[in-house]
Amino acid sequence: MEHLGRQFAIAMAKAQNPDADFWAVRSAVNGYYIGSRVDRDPAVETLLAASIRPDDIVRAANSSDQLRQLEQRFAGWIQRHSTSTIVGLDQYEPDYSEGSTQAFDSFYFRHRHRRFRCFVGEYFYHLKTWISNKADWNFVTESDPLLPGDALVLSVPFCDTVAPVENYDRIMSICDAQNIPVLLDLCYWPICHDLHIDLRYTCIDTVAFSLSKAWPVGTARIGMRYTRPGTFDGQRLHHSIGYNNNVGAMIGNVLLDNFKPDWIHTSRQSKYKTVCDVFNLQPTNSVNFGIGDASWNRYNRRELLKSYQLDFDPALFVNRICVNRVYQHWDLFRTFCRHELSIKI
Amino acid sequence: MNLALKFKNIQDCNGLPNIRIVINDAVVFENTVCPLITVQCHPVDNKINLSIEHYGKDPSTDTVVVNGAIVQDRSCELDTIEVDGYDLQELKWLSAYHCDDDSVLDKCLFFGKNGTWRIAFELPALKWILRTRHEINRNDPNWSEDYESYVSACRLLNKSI
Repeated sequence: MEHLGRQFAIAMAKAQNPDADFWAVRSAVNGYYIGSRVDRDPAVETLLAASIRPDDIVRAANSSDQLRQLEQRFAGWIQRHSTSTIVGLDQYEPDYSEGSTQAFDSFYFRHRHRRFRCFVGEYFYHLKTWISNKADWNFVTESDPLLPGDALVLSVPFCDTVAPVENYDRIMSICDAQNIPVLLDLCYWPICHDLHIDLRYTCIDTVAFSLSKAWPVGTARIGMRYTRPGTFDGQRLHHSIGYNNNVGAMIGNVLLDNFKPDWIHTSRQSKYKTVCDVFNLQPTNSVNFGIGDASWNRYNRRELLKSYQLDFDPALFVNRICVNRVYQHWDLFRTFCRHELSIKI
Repeated sequence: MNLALKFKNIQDCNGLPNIRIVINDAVVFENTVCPLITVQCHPVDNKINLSIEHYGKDPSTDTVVVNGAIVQDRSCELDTIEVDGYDLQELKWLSAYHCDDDSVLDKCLFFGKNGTWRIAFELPALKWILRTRHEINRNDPNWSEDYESYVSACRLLNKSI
């Protein structure tokens, strides 16, 4: 039922910019429901504004104490999720990452002589980077399975469907057996629920987390990378000499002080059910996404592929609908449901 | 209906051009032209026939010809047409200038000869613009759905369309 989603998107855009005319509104809504980062969250923004003083920024910019603190506490914090479990994170060492992206880049560089692999639907950044750098890569398919000499990137939950990875244990066992290093992208972990992952497979080289999916701090680039003891690449060097984004780490520490890793899930789960019902979306393991049927054609991956300058058929991917904006306009959503659909929320 | 007409290149020659604006047979403006003319009216019918008559020009006194070339000419050009805040933009060319000498100049926004410029459109203007553009270009199959959603949103938010 894309038309209801579209109708509400138009209402959100008009509410956000009441002076916008039809064309401005229409142009804005084409980007709604696409992407994954939180756009705005006034409560979090107020908290950050109240928690961080100008002096703190000056101090943080000349120190690495916030980095140390975040690196020490992140693993304990992320494992306090009420419905998801991680086993084996203690086998890895943390270092701050400029979002999960820096961890990806570091992985690519350390394994640049291998053939990069991912499943269809994986995060487009990998494809963009591999293609633009003429790296050897290919999707994992039945006709082109994982082989020795490969390096695998895998998101958990899987980026396309925001669901647990089917055959995760089998895939890891294959990688173990074939000595294939694996990067696990867990950047959706803080926005998900009911996920369980075992990190004890020896093939796992890197585990990456991000805070920008649950909190509106995307451009602060707050991520955490976990690698095996003994890994000493450029990113780890910066960790060892404290030459990293201490201001970003400070923001990260404020978030960890004030929120649990399942905050998004616990605070939005009842709203999420309503959103999925109204828009006829199939629920996922994240309250930020639902899966739309074929009618959500205008919110398929076409626009995202275009922005990444990637030439793939949008039909390869599911219509993953990001509903973050709906939460940001919850009062309007209630009014919309009452007036347009005669549904009282 | 709020109508805003902008004129450019207004040339004075023994006086400014006289124009008479008629909406569905009702005269809503009659005077010399000026750069911006705004009109408020309440047509009963949603189908609008807008005409602008250029009258009272005497070529023998209101045009100066030197050595076969016109050096001064009472005239003006219609620049933009805004209906209820929506600029008709390129759709202004769906019009014609009917000269008093019975010639018809398609897509002419120049008011030189005495005559009447005519265009027909419908209210609401936004809906007409969207539908007409799609009929011409065949590139906006969702115009109707988005229009209705926009109208609903404006109603929900108590905003004018």
